[in-house]
Amino acid sequence: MSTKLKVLYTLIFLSVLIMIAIIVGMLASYNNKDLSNITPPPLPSPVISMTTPTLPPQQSIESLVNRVNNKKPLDTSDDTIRKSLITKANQNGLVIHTNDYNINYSKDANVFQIELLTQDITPAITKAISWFRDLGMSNQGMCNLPLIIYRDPKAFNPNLKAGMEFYSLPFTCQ
Amino acid sequence: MAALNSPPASKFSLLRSRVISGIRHPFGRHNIGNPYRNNDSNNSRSKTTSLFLSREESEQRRFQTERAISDLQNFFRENIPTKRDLQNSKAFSLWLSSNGLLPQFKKLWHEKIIFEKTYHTSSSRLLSNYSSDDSRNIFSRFAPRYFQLRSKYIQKTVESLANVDMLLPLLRQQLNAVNPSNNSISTKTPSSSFSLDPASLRSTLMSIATATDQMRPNPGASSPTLEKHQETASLGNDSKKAEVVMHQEAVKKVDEQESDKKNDADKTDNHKKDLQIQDLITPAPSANNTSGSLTHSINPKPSMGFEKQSFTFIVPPQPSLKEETKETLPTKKYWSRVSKKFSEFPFLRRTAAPNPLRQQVDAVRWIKYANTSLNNLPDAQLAQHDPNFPRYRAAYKQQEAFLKQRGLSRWRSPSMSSNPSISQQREISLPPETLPFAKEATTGSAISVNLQDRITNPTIIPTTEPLHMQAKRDAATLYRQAGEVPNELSSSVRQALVARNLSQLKQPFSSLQGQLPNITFAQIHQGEIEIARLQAKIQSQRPVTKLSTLITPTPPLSSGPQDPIRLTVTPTSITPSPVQDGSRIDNTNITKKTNVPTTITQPGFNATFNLNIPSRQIPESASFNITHQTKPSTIKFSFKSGIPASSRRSLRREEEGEDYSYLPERDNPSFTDNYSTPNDEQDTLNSTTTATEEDQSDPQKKNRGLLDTRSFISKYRLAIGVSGGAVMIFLLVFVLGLNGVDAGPSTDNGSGTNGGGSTYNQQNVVLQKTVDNTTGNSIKSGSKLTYTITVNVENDPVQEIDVTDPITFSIKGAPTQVTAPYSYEASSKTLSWKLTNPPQPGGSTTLSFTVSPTDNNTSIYNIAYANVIGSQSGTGSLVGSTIPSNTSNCNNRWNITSGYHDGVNFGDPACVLAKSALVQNYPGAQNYPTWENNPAWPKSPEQALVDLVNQDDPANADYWLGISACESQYDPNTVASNGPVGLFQMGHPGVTVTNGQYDNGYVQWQQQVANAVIYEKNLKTLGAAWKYWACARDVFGLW
Repeated sequence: MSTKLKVLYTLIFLSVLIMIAIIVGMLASYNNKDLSNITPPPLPSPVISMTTPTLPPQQSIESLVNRVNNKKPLDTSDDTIRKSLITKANQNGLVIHTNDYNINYSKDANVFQIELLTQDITPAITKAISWFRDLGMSNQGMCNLPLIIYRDPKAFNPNLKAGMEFYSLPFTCQ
Repeated sequence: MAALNSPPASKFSLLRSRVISGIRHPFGRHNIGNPYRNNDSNNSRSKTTSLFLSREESEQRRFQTERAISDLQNFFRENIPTKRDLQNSKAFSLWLSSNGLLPQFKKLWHEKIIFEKTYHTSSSRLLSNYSSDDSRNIFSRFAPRYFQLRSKYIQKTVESLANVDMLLPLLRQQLNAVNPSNNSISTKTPSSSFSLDPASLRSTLMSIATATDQMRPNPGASSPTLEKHQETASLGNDSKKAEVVMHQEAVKKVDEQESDKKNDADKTDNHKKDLQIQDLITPAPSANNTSGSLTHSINPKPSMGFEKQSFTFIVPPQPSLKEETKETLPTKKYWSRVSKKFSEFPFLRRTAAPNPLRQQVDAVRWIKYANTSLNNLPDAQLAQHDPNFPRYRAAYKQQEAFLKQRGLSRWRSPSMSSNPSISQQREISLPPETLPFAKEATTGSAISVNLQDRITNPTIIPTTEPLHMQAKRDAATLYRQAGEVPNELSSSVRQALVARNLSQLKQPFSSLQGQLPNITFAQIHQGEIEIARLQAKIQSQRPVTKLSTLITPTPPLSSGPQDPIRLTVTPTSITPSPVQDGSRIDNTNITKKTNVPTTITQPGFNATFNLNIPSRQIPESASFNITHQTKPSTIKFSFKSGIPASSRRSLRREEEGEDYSYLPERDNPSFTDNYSTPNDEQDTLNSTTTATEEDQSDPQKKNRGLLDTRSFISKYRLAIGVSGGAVMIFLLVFVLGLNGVDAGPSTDNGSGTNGGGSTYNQQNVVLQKTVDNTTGNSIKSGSKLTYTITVNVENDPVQEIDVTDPITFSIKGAPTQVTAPYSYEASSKTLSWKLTNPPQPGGSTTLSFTVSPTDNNTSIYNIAYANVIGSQSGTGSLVGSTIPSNTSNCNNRWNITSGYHDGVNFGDPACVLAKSALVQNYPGAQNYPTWENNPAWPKSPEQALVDLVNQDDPANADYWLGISACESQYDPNTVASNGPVGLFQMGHPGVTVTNGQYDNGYVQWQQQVANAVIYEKNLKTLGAAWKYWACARDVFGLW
């Protein structure tokens, strides 16, 4: 290989190196650009699906206490159902458990309770009342049991240390 | 072949001859002990047996033996009752008694039990290992001993049963019925009404005997081990392998069969349990009904040279009996209780239950049982077994008629616990005529315990909870107040308290023994002594917290030296701060041990020391020192407790260092020494309470009455200690009842005894209530008591004063001679006056009424409230305080600004709680580890709060303090982020959803306590007790 060719190849090699250096420098300068001005595409807005819980008016505890203290006798069929439910209750008084409610028999107070286990109060009450009706219990029988409907908000809000919500039956008691 | 057929017949005849002749060793005594020993009496049979011995036969006989063992075990497990079953089986004991066999059976059974223990102890290891892989070697090693023990066991069993004379004729009859020709046993109907099914017993025992005899080595064969070794030595390897394989197959077969039997036994376990008694004493089987027997067939297999025995136990199909007696037959649980209760009685002897209720239940059950299981025996025959049967029959018929009349399907018996609690009553189907009482029965009342009386004439017992629960709580309270932990006598205390409550039910003590079998008079008496001891200790330890008196120096100190008057009360703290005009000191609390002097720097004052008693009990003694420093000089006086607060005080001032006593005992010599007449005006401080002039002029007369009262109390207590405290019981229960009932909001309640009075102070209005008890003694039923309430308006004019006086004791009719106009609410026995023209400042008006109590010898507490409207000192919307909410943080005691507070001191605007002393190491905290161990909670509530919860709800005082510590750390101004407020974090009207008027914590702390107590009572009524508060669960596990 002649000297001229060696010089030519050397120049070509240097030129390639220079080109590479220039390209690398350009890329580096591009990467160092301030990206703060780049506005990212807007994130999709979260779709918040909130079901407004149905909150029937609470019943004052005094009226419930009055009903318990002035309990009316049950008719024969309702009394039979009541006794069967008492028999069905386990040691803790639990008669039936569903995802929406518990039905308890309080031996000390001699009352039946619907303990609501969901935020959707009205549907849960409806289901629990239907359960009693399916057994053949009349509305007045539920009034005279008496049937206490309550919800413990502490079960849904761990920050709460106190509170009880009592609800009335979805029909009028005599 | 004839020889092959003959052994079974010969064995039958052998066993039969032994049994019939009543021999005690059916297998020969000599052979039992040593199987290697030759016995001449059995030579023929042994030789016959030895003809069939071979390796195969050896294995087969081993298998046969195991079958026999298994069958024997199953037989005894299924047919022979355990000792417990026998103890619990009245039918069996009746059967034995009817035949005069009870003593004999007891003796034999005792021997059997003793032998069983020995047998099982020595053979259990062998039996457990026999089914393992090494069973052959182990069996060979232990076989002689095993056979020995097992033979003895069978022997003893045969003795125990065969020697019962009753069995012998039956066995003889059954054995005679054996037909050897077809090698099957047919069960014949026995003539006796009771049959032990001897065929089953005989056949099983015979099979065991056969198997045992066959396994017993013949004279030339020595032990199975030796036999095995000899045979093994004589055979080649192939024969040895064949033997091993055969043995393994046999063992495997045995294991499989045992496993199958075990599974079957498990499946029918419950059924068999029910049938244990029926299996033992079966009704006489009919000719076409042979079920319930153990059939045993013997099929000789000459080719094999051994007998193949098959056992089939047919469970008697008695579903109808089981179903019918499901509800009426005594359960095992019931019998377990009965047997435990009657364990002190002789073996198998069960006397009639002393409890009439249980007797009646027994009657129903046993008549049912007799009708179903005893084949409807006539009364006369039943009466031979149990003289009570006719009575049972009559009771049963009465029950049937009762149920039929009321349309009830069946009688649901109460639990066996005779405690007349409401929980028990609820389990009973109340007949319709008791429905009018359903209200009381379901809201915390109990009904009398007598069964018939409850039906026909129910007695309502006004209790708020089951008697035993109430007694348990009261007993715990007693021990806690006494500073003790419950000891072994606490159960006696509880029983005594139950008896006390029952005594209030107009039930004589003589009737308690039958109704409360768990309670004995000895225990009641012991409990009463313990109660008296605890009460004495409580009396001695009870801290005197408050006592009301009003002291006015006479002559007024303003006429004395003009030097600044310095009054020091020690030990004391002044709560709240003295009014700065120097005219009075309110609410002096002397419970503090700290020496906080209070100085009055202006002359002329009335010192009012209110020492209320939170538990509404009159303290026995209280003392405090007041240092009146003028020159300086010291006035020191003390007084005894039990003295009406409004009674006249006569004190003599002394020079420094000289002590004066007030109202010493009459027999105390110091009484005459130290007592000074009021003539010494210079040295006397006279009370300015509503004591009459007569009283002031003759203090000894008043004192005499008081001393009479004290004397009576002393005698009263003495009577309690000696007689068991019947009267004290009533007093205690009454006081507890008062404390439990009077949970209304109140502070600074005046209190007093008979003839006493009380003072109720608000900032501007002072109520003084006295009772004119002319006798000066305890209250008698029907006596007339005239109360006078003096309403004093101090400084500021007021527009209206509502005075309320709830009468806390039973009175006859309505109050009379009441100052008009007034209103009276009969249900709550509350008198009310509305003073629309109240007296002017400095003036007073009096209200009076007369009542006639219906109770003897009880303490009556003076309580009156005033609601002041229009006072410049504040509008009284709350009982106990007329200070409205303000912005005072009570010297930085309460945080009312940061966090979620709104800058308002709503909980303690008068700073009463803030300035109350802290109770160091509150004793209740020690009862609850979670409270004690949680450093985040303060352990020292304020004394005022302790007093109030003890007053409003003494039974749950510890709970309230614990909940307050957990919820708010005793801060009445606490406001949580989510809205709840106050000591107990209750509702905040307008901010949170509140449930009723009592779900309100945005009130003053006294009202907070009252609201919480009332709210909790309502929750309890609804079956949600304590569920409002998470801390009630976290700290105390109340729900």
